[in-house]
Amino acid sequence: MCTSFKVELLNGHHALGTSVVRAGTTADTIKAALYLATATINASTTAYTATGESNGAGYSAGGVTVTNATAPTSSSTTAYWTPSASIVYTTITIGATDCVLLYNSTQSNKAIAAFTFSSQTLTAGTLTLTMPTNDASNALLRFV
Amino acid sequence: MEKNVEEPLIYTSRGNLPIASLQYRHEWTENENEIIFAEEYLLDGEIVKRSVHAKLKKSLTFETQQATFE
Repeated sequence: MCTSFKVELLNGHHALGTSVVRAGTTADTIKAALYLATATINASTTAYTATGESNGAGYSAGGVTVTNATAPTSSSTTAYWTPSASIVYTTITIGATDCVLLYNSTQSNKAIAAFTFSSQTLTAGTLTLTMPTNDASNALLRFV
Repeated sequence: MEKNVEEPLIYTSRGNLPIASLQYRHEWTENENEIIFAEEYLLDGEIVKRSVHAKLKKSLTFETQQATFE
């Protein structure tokens, strides 16, 4: 498979099925929502849902906007993308949370990927999710 | 002349409290999925502030496959 195709999928260049009318040529807004350990968020999730989302002081439903200053790229035959900054929830109080869902708020909140971690509670504190190195071996999303 | 030395405060679930009045503890945990650093401030045994820094080790990998014509 052409590596350029993998990168172009990430950039929204190809529509092999029914396409959407894109509002512009800028990158979509990607958001990150947190979910309680009791929620069911996985590969079957198709869009952001408020059901099971973490809640509490300082946390806004829908989560935070992901910093996306680095366009998808490739190395060898792997296309990849990683948010360009840590995902940070500042001064929040939430119950046992073990999942973050990345979703596309520009495109009807369609789901991108869910990542789980060991359950954490936050009390008037900050949750920082540090991103991996943005390369072909470690990037957050990789098409190999 | 008397110096005006303000006591350092930290924001907690009980509002701003003097750091010196709180017990501090932290822990590192690491497994195949993540590295977690958590720090807690306690007031009389109650956690009044808990922050977490997490680094996820596993990226999501999409394996692409191409069929061949026989």
